Amino acid sequence: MKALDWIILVGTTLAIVGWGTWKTRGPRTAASYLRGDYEQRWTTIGLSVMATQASAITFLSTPGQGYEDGMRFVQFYFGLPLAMIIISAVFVPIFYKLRVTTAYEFLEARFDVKTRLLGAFLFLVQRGLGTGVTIYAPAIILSTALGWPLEPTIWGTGGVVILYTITGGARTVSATQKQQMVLMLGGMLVAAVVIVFRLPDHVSLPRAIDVAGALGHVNVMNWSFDWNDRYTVWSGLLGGLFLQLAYFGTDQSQVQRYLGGESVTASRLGLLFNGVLKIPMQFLILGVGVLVFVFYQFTAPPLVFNERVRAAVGETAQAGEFAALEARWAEVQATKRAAADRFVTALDAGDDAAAADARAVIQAEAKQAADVRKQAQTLVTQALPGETAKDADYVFITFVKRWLPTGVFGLLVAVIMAAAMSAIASGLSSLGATTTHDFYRRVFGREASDAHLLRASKAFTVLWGLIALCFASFAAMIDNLIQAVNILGSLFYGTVLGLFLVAFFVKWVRGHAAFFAALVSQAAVIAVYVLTEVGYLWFNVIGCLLVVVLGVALQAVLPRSRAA
Amino acid sequence: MSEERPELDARPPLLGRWRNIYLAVVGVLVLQLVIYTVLTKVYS
Repeated sequence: MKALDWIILVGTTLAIVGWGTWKTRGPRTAASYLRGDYEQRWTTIGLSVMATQASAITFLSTPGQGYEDGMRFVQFYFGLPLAMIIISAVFVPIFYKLRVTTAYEFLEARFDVKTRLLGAFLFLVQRGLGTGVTIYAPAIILSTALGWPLEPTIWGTGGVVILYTITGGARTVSATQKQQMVLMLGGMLVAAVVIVFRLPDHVSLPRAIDVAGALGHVNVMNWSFDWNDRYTVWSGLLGGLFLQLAYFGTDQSQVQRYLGGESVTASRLGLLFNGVLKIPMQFLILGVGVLVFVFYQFTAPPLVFNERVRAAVGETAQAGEFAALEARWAEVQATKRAAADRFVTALDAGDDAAAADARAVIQAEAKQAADVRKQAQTLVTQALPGETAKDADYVFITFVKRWLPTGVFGLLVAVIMAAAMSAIASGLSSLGATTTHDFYRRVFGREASDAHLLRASKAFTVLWGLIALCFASFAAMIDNLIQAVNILGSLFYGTVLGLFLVAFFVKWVRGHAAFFAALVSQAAVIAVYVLTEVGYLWFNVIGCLLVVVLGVALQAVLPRSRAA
Repeated sequence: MSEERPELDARPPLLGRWRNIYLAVVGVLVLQLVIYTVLTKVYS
């Protein structure tokens, strides 16, 4: 990185954190620290909700996914607007009416204290580990791609976030996220425009889309009912609805963002703003990845994007074989580029026959390229046992580093850091709030003074920060870390969502029935995970439906006098 | 009640009723589904 890149990165980060902290300065109560003072405007809520969901991995992995797989991942978000409507109409007014500080407090109001503690405990387990990954995942990619030392990157990022989170609590986190989200959206728009200008002179934006389409990368929609296909319109609408309901409606890192709104109206508008803007935002980020893909049709991409892995393979017995694959890769890329040039020229000339011929050649060469890349990945696995051969996460950062001008490079690293910090901050703030409000205050400190609770809240936030940082530091020792945490999250999300859905929609089910239904469902989901091959995304649906069905069944057989 | 607790104010700022705003959000979703379907068909 050049001096200008560093100035932009450090300048934007300090400006955002400094402004957010200054803007929300002033005396604090425990409630204002944990939830805010019913003063956030809908724009702050909307941007803060979006920033919480958009972690650094969103800006590293999603363009890589667009590069590898085209636009189809956008379908994953189709259930989100519907989830926002349900949460706005049902969850928000009840949360406000009861003046809850955490989502789990509602479970006690509706059921009993044990159900509240169960919901809070499940949240702490999965969000605690998830926040560790939120710190580790971008740090490992940035340290590899940019040569930053890993441990200082992890502890430096985490330290700054802990500091500003304990300074102002939920209000500061939301105020900071508002600016961070503007930076993220602006940065990705700038990236899209710069990439278009980086394309060869004869390739306009419409022609770039033609090339992407010829190679199957404008594959936004899949209306088929293929259950084996992870991304279809139906899995997005149905599976996505469950997942987003669980995430936005029951995960305190999100609930905390909209509980401090100036009114029910502000919270609803913020959530609906997210419902309208989220899909276009994901479309933009995936589109940037597709533009990078088109760029690399006219400029040879590296065979392996992770430069550290590429260098390491060169030191092994497989180095010769890898060099041969790279030579073959260069040949295929040259043929493909010539065909892509012919394709664009034929389209400009309106020569349909020539365009069809060139398209066939590009498609054939793309298949060859995919084969060579697959062979290279197999070779990497043989040469470096334990090393992940998939490098989609490195596509965008490698492209940015190699091809984008000074200044824009710094801006995009600032975008990635802003995304990392916003997700970490909301994670830590919500973990501190839940530990303080649902456990410490409820179980041990009901008579504690406000000042005591405020100190405890800050202490718990720091504690969770340290736990997350330690987890991030040792994360490299765990294979398939991100998948492991995703599985862990899916194991618990369904059960928690089931509890909330019973609470809201099945009024006659009461505490004991809901609690034991949740326990049995949780055990059943874990059994499904251990004993079957069911994909982990389905755990959300299974857990949720089991809680509802078992809750109703148990309530029907439990004696009225024993029902809580 | 709402005077004592202004945060409970739930008046929609436009379109008269929340139901209409929710329908507008669904409308935007449907519009996107149509646009993306056309895009996929044109370039497939």
